Amino acid sequence: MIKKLAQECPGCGGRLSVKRLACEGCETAVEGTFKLPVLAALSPEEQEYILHFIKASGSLKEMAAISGKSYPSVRNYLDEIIEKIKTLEKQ
Amino acid sequence: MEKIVQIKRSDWLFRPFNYIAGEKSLLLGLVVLIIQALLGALATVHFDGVIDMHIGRPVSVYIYIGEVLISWLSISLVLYIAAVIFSKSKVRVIDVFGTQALARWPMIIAAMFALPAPHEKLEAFMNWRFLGQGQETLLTTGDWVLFFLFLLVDIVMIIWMIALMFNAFKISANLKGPRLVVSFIVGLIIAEVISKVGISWLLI
Repeated sequence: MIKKLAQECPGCGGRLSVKRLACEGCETAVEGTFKLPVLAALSPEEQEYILHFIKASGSLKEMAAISGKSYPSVRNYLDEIIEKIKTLEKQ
Repeated sequence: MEKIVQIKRSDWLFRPFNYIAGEKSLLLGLVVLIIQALLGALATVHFDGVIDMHIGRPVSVYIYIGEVLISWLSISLVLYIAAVIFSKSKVRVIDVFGTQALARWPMIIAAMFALPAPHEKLEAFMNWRFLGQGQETLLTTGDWVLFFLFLLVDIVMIIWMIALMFNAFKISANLKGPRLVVSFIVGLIIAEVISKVGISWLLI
């Protein structure tokens, strides 16, 4: 089961940050305050889209061919993600 | 590579432009327009406006083609300008023109229903009954049924076409909410006026 990475505090709604990182191999743990990158705040579908976009060398035409969607459809989704990233960066 | 998104079959009815736009839609759309014009010529149906169709006198096939092309170009140009003004996305000309051409395909069905010429007998009846012109013409129940079926199909096809035009504009311009609705309605009205002017010049 793939767990969802929580983004918002259930108590106050604020942005969550990472306090502890652990190594599964030797059980070493690192504690501090690490901010989650903006990309981690996107939905799994959006993150997958961005990965495909990078693998397609940033070509919307290739993305359209891969996904079976039309060029404007693919472009519109990318524009939505861009707007979401801009909003997250302002927070 | 795997497909990123599953294609919804229901989308093909009203939102086919999620899957087809650009050059493909333009090529298919031009075929649609020519077929529409040729069927119109056979059925003496004039597509003399962006969302208009009227039964008229037979004219040269080039007039039918001209009417269809002027109607398409009018709405495409107006919506493209609206998209450039109101959209935050980079809008491609080919997407707007191509999807608007393809959106007109329900008119092919409307023209096909006019081929049996259900309107001719009605016109003859009206001329005889109310204007005292022509031979005595009586309409059977079957004639009335055929005529109203033709009318119903026309209305349904026009509504379907407008829905397709709206969704084509929505996808190709990436507009949402009130901006989308208002710019589409205003664009439709302006394009209708432009097409009427353009077609009247064609007939001079």
